Amino acid sequence: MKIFYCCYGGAHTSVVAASIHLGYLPSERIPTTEEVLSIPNYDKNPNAKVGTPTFMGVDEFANEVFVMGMGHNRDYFAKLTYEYSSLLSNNCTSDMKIVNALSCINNYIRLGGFLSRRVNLVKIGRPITVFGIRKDYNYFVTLVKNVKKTINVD
Amino acid sequence: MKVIVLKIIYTTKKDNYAAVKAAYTHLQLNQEISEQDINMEPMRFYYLGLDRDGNEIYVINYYKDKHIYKNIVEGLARIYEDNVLIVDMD
Repeated sequence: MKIFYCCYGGAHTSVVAASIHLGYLPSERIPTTEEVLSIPNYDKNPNAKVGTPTFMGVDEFANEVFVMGMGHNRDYFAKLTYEYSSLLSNNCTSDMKIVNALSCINNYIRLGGFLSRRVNLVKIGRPITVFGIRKDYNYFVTLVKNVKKTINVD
Repeated sequence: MKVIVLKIIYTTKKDNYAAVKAAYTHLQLNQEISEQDINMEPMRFYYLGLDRDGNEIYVINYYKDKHIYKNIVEGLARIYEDNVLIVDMD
């Protein structure tokens, strides 16, 4: 199965959720700032690449995990992604899952993400995003646990 | 010689007629464009047929954010190892 964690720009919330899923970040404690900053693709995706699925790794159930940004029109682009994937995989949409990681976002991540990705004030924005992620880290862990439960039930 | 089969997607935001007309022309269809073909729901792929070379022809109204639409379509095609050509009608 292919799992797509999506958020606004594909740079913060989706990357953190995918990293917890893949074990790059711990699920039993809050990670340190350095641990968050060292995960692949964190705060990296430029605006021009929003929408491009980025491969993050393969989980313990052999599912491929991707992250992608979907901008403001997440509902439309989620529909597009399901539609197009079913075209490409001969109508087999059960082979993929889109997970909305934006449900874990807070205003710190919003502000930090805006400063870092949109205004290019990386030195100011990046630490704010990390603060926001560490603040509500348990939300990300719960989301990933639910996703893994759903995958196993399916 | 290996023949590469493409998914050719005629893409539009506002001019559904132009996209469908281009797809009809590509497929060498001389018939009138049907009302049903023009009334496209946004973000839905409408399959219109196969061309002479076996390429699949689609039309779509992408609604908003062209660069995200293109990145998603091209990115997913890469993941599924498919070949896609987006023809922008705007």
